[in-house]
Amino acid sequence: MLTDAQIDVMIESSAESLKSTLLLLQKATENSYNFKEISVQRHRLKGVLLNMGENGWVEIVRQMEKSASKKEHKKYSSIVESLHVGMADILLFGHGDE
Amino acid sequence: MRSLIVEDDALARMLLLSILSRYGECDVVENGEEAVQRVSSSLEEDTPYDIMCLDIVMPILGGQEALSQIRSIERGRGIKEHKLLKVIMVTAIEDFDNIMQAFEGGHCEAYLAKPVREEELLEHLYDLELIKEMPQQKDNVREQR
Repeated sequence: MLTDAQIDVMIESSAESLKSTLLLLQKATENSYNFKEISVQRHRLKGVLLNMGENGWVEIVRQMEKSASKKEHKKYSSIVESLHVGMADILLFGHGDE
Repeated sequence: MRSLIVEDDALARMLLLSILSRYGECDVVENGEEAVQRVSSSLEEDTPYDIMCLDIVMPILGGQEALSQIRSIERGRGIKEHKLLKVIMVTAIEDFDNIMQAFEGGHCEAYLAKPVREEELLEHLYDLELIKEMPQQKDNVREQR
C-alpha cells in the first residue's frame, strides 16, 4: 500500500514528466516543424500518459501519430494546449501550497 | 541484486526505482550514453550490474544503440554468454518493431510495456532468476487518511 508521501512523489514526478514533454513538443512544433524531435517527444508523451493511467489522452496521442504518418502536423498545437487544460490539476500540483 | 535504470522520463524512473530498490543497490541514468559509461565502469571495477531496465526512445543515445554498444563492450572483454548483463527493454506496448529488433538481435531478455506494472517486472526478475520468489500481490491504493 502506498503512503500519502509516496503518492505525492508520484504526482510530482508525473507533473515533471508531463511539463517537460509538453514543453519540448511545443518547441518542436514551433517555427519549422522538427519532425524527428516531434516523433521522439510524442513517443515520450505516450509513455508518460500510459504510466499515469491516462488512457483517454493516450488515444489522442495515437491519433497524433496517425495524422503524422499522413503529414498532417497542423493540429499539434491545439492538442498540446488541450493537454495543458486537461492535465491542469496535475501540472499545477503543489502550486496551491505556495 | 544490482540494478541500472536507464530512462529519460521522471515518472517511469521513479516507478522502476520504487520497485527495484527493494532488492538492492539501484542506479539511475537518463540516456543511453550514460548507460554505456555506467556499465563499462561497473565492468572495469568488477561490480557488474545484474539487471538493466532500458528505455528505447531516449535523447542523446537511444536504447537500441546503447545496448548494441554494451554488448560490444562485453564481447570485447570476453564475457561469457551466461554472464552477460540481463536487459529488460521498456517501451510503449505497441512498439513492436523496436521490441522485435531487440529480441532478434539477441540483445535483450525481456520487455516491459508501459504502463510499468510491478507484477510484470517482478515476473521478469523471477524468470531471470534474479529474485527467488514472487512477493504477495499488494493492493496499491492510497492509505486511508
